[in-house]
Parts: sequence; structure tokens; C-alpha cells
Amino acid sequence: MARKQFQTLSEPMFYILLCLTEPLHGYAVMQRIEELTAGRVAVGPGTLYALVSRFEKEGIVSRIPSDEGKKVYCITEKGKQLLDDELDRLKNMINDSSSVLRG
Amino acid sequence: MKTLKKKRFTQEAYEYKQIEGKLEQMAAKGWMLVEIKNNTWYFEKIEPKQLQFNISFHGEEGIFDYPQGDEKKSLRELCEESGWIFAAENMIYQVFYSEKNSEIQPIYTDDQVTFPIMEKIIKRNQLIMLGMIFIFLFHVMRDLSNYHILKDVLKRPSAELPWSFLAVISILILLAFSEYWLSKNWQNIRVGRPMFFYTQTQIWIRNTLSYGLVGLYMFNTLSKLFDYPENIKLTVSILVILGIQIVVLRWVILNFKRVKRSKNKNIAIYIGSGVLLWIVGVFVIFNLIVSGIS
Repeated sequence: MARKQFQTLSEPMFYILLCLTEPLHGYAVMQRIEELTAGRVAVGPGTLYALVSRFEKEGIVSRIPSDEGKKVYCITEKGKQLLDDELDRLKNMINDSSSVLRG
Repeated sequence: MKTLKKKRFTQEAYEYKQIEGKLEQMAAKGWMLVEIKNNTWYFEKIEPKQLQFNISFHGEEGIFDYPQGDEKKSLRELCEESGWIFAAENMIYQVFYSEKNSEIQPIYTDDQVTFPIMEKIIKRNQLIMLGMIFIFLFHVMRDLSNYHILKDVLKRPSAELPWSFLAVISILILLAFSEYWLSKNWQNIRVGRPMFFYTQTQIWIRNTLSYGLVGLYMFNTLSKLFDYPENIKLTVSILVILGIQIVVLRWVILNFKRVKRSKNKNIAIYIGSGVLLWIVGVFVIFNLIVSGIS
């Protein structure tokens, strides 16, 4: 189910998963995405919350205990695999387009 | 001077952009949203301000679900951390605001994420509307069959067919608007276009048509009471019984939802209570008729 649903990741999905390779709470994910992309990708709190909930339901991220009283999430092995696959897909696209456009 | 204003908004989830716009207009006129109770929105007098409003949905929670208070709280905290200020909430969404033109992220930044949330809420409402259509169609069929169980007692003619149809058409209009919104946006999302929203005029047309027809239906139903004044006592008794049933059912729903149970158990409890109340109601009404209250 998760494989089909998240076969290709949208930009917000990709960056959320990328940020969650280290344990972070919601707002920290938003800040980290902004930092990583120099403001190019913006993820609003509602969008982030909905995506993380879907990821959690599919076992792509999991909640980890935190002393701060905030919900802290981290990517699971399944999520890492998804991210790796997406990275391969993107690399292939870059290689294909480079060979066509730049010889 | 009046410091509190009440306003009734229709609350179709797909109208949230219009609602945000209306709230901005109200704030610019010096009225700030402070509470939403049932369908009534409460505004407090403030200095006119240029504010922007955003709505966030916690619509994952249905009538049969245990209230996800924790989820709602987390979403609210996240929005507040992002700079949004909480104004009010209802069963479907929370309303936030911030200074206009502040560099704050909108609550939803990706239509591909927003659409499935809206779809779920709208589909649930459509299911309720289909249920209502079924009830009214039953009413139409009953009239069509020219057999009225109360006919002899109430001395009512069975010529109610056009009026019941008005209620059906009214619900069909609401259904058509929500279905068009869904299909239009399903296409938009597929081709990467921004989401479509009805204009205020289109919403006004929908409401006028739909609620106008319901108004006509209600007017006709009530006017029948005055055509046959001898029935008023019985009709009022039936309405009182219906009122009591609604209050009891609401109490059951609110109180049973305080305990965490599976959705299926909740459905069984609510339907069971509803059927039980209906049987008791029919029994009481039947006894009233037999005892000749009309």
C-alpha cells in the first residue's frame, strides 16, 4: 500500500523524510526544510501535520519518546528505503536528462 | 454599544476560503471571531484590524470516532509555533489569524495534501445527505402509494407529493455543488492546477435555492397545522417527543464518546440507541392516537 501510495514523493514529502533522518518535532522540521532549501520549499503546519500522520500510519516514520512534551518523529527502515528509492529515481532522471541535453 | 455579534454561517468544508475571506472582512470592520458554537459564530467588537485568517482541518474525526483531543492539540500547537494565533474551533476545523502581510507560512501549502482531507470530510457529509434523501424519498413513496397510516385519524389529504420532492431537490442541490467541487478539484490536482473554490455569489445562489426550497417545504408542512386545527395537539405532542428523542440521542453520543472504544462499537451503540428511541417514540405516539388526543 505504502509503496504504491508513495511511489513518487512530492517535494514536501521528500524533504520531510530527509529531515526526519534525525529525530525532530514538527516545528523543527519546518525550520530545517527552510534552512536546507534556503526558503525555496515551504511546508505549512497543516500540510506537515497531515503528511507526518500519513507517514506514521504507513510505518514510514515513528514517534519516539521525548522529554519536551512535544511529538518527536524519526524515519523508520521502511522510510529510509523509500527515500533511497526516490534518490535513485531522481539520480536516474538527472543522468537521463544530462545525456540528452548535454551529450 | 453592541459588543457581541452572532452570525450564522453555513459550514460546508469546501467553503473554507470564503469563510477566511469573510472573517477578514469582519476584522477590518472591527469584529473579531471569538467562538463557534453549533452553527453560530460569535464576534467581539475590536479596533478594526487588517488580519489574515487560515483554517486548519482536524476532520479525521467523525461522529463515531473517539474525540482525538490529543491530535487537535498537537495541530494547534504546531500552528501556534509557526506564528498563527488561535481564534476558535468547531467539530471540523480550527480558525487561526495573524497580521495581514506578515511573512508567515500558510497553514496548507500543498493542494495535493489538502484535497484528500477535504475529500474525506465532504464524502462523510454526502453520506449523511444521501441518508436524508432516502428518508424523504420514503416519504414521497408513502404519499405516492396513497396509503397514509394517519390519514383517517388526522383527516389529511395525501396530496403531499410535490412538497416532499422539494426537500429531495434541495438536498440534491447541496450534493451537486459538493460533488462538482470534488470532481473539478480531482482534475485540477491531477494536472497540477490550483484548487478551485466557488465564489461568494455561487455560494449565495446555492444557499438561496437549497434553503429556499427547504423553507417552502417547512412552510407547507406548518401551514397544514392551521388547515386542520384539530390536529395541532397531536402534532405538537409528536414534535415534543421528537425533541426529547434528539436530546437523549445527543446525550448518548456526547457521553459515550468520553470512553475510548472501537468505531464499530460506537456505531452499534448509537444505532442501537436510535432504534430503541424510535420504537419508544412510535409506541408513545401510537398510544396518543389510540387515546384520541387529536
